[in-house]
Amino acid sequence: MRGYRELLEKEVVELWRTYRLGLFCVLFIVLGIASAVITRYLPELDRLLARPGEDLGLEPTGIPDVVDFLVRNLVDFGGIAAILLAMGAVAGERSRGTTALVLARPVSRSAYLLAKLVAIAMTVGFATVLGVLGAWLWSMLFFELPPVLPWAQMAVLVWLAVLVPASITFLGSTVFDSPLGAAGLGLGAQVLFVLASATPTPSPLLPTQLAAVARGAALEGFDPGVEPPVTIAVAAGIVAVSLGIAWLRFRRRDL
Amino acid sequence: MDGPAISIQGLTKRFGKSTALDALDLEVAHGACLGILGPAGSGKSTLLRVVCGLARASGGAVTVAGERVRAGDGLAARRQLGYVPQEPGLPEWMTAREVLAFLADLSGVEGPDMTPRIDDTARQLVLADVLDRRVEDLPAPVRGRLGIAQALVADPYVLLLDEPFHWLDPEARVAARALLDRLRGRRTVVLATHRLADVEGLCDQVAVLDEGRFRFVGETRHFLEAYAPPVFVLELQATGGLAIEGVVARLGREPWAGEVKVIGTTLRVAVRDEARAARELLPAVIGTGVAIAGVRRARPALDAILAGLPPAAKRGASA
Repeated sequence: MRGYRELLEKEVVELWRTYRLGLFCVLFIVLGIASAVITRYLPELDRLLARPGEDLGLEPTGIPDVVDFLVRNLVDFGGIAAILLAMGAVAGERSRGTTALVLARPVSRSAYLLAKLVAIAMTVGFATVLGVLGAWLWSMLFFELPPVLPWAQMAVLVWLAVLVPASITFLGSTVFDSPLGAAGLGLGAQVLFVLASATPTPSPLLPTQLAAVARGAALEGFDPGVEPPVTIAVAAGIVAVSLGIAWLRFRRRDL
Repeated sequence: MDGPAISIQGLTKRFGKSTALDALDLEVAHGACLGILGPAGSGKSTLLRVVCGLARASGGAVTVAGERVRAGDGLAARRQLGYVPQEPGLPEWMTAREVLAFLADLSGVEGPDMTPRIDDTARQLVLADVLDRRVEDLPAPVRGRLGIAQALVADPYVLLLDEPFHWLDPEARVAARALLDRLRGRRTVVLATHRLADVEGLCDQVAVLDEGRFRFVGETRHFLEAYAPPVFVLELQATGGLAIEGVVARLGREPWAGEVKVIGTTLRVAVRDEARAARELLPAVIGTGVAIAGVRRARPALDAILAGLPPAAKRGASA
């Protein structure tokens, strides 16, 4: 894996200098804080919108509602942001000619690919930690002190859930010449997963079930039908298989 | 090092049904400067990309300094190489210094050697003043120079350049040519171009590539004499047709003059003996009473040269 360290360093600096790392973190922080703030003020907003004297029968909101909102927001919006982040990783650099400049040197193609995917995973991970931390702090202010370890587990699971569309898009970026083709593959896979899980009892084999697993981890209790080991293994498998296929495709590709 | 710097044997590259490189054989000696001359689409860029392991050969073999080149592998061969692509995709967000440091680092240049290498390369390509500016802020000719510098910074044993002068302004072109000239005998240089002027005076060997086949491989001097004799282009002051006919008739009697073409008031005079033509052409024309507005020396156009070359590729050529 000659050149991996230098390439990873370059990827991280590029993500920082081109503001993608910053924007990604800001998005996740906003989503995290908004989850707590909206949960806190949602009943009052509903009451404001109700007709005078009308009883909406609202129950008080709490930490479980914050977790629900947070996981859904980070997985859905974060997933789309991850697709945008990964779509040009290889295809964009290849079309600009930078890939040829780098790989004409004694650098292995596997190091090139791995450095890019690790940089994306690091960005998603860093942003997820900040987003969850924001939600945790505001939940502490509005409700009560959320448990640290279950929330940390939730953060890891959200990271994995966002990494799934990112890795599929990354695969597309090595297969297609255009970043748009890569984004199409990532979005297409997301739509398929969502459609497949739109049943009363979604299969634990679907990576979309990671949201339910993350929620259960934070609340220390899983809904019936949720099988964390199976869902986590499948999601991790999708990431690994995407990288594997990307490598098989890229190592034979003319640049 | 024993053996040639670059050895290409039976190299074939196909894209679907079309053949971009057709069973090429070539050997480039250590320290040689080889020009690969060919029109657009002749396969020059593909050949260089295969040699530096960016594209996979459909058949045949390439070695660089005795190391086999393989696309996606062959790191030992790529350690010996510096490559200047036709359009170097320099990372826009880096400074020029960071580009050179990053790519030198990938080529294995170690810490203490890094700064002197960068400074020396930048000085030779007149880049010292822009080292701390971002690539996105640099004009195209400066980027062109940086594109050459990134290949030279690791002091490679073999340098592959694909149309390296294309983006350069005249001043930078002179600097880059002088730099390549200084490498003569110490490093092996392969320069792909569609301009004969790039090869002339710089490359001691030339390989003419046309539709994926070599039409000529040999000494540049021999090639120029045999297939691209010089042409003197004279701009005559506006004058009557009879006067120009007189000039053509006069030149037709000179043993050193070849074919004379008339395009308006421009004469293109092919010459057989350049030294004599340089001495006698202007007096001969002025002697007919026609005034000369300008004169320059040129070479025939590439398509005209290709039309005069033998059609078949020679196997087993060496440069």
